[in-house]
Amino acid sequence: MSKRPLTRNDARAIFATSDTSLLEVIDNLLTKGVVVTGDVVLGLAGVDLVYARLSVLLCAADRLHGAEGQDGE
Amino acid sequence: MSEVYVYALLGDAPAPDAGAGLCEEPLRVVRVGDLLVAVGEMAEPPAVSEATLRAHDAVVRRLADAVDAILPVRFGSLLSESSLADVLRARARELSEALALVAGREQMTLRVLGDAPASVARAADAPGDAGPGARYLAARRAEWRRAREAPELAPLRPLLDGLVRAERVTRHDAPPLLASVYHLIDRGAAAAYRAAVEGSGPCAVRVVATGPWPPYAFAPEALG
Repeated sequence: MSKRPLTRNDARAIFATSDTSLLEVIDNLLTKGVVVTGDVVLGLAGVDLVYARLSVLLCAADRLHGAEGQDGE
Repeated sequence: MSEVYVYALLGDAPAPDAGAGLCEEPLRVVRVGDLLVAVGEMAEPPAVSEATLRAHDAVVRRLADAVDAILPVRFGSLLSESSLADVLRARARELSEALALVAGREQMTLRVLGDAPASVARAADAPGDAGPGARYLAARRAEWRRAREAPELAPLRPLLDGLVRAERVTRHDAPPLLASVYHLIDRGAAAAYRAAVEGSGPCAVRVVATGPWPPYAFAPEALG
């Protein structure tokens, strides 16, 4: 519990999740919403990590989905 | 002096018992001019973790269900009540406009996946005889516009047009994730929106829809 912004290591630990719904929550809560204080939790590096992680997970899910679709045809 | 943790701006006041916040603190509604703000007393900002993020989101969702218009505030916003009042007074007009936009609405999020960014061929904005300054400004304008556009969605547009009330686009440098597109839709239209996305047929890109969410992406741009 401190006022320091999230570091890249903190971000990595949280964004290591394989739960895309958590990444959606992170995107909404840490990169969107009305800003009322200068103490922004997430720095620019962290924002990039959110989307990089989403990209990897969605791409994996997409390949799986595509493979299933081909099996069914 | 005690500080308040800020959850959301509200278009109207929820029932008197607004429930508890993410640290089980009682929620209360503060009025600043015409704006209503849902806050809880807190000594320190919450640590960033899955539990606290989901708890904050749960509070915002509960408030969203209780009011017609809500603008969520970014996670981790702890400040004195007087500082909060100063910030809100300075931005009262744009915040009121944003609240009017989201009234009766909610957010869907589209992740656009593809191999490469669509080529965005575009005629130069500046006339051929424009000077270097005008050409520079035209290029900057085009760049600014491209960062907020999702041409990949063109095949989907006819299906979504009747549902989408407002749009925000963020382009990413994270292939295959090309862009995130945030759509404001009427509350209750999420099923129709999903059906439209899923029924869009073959497309050069894949889109993944999630939601409905409270309208996080429709907060006015941060100052400075």
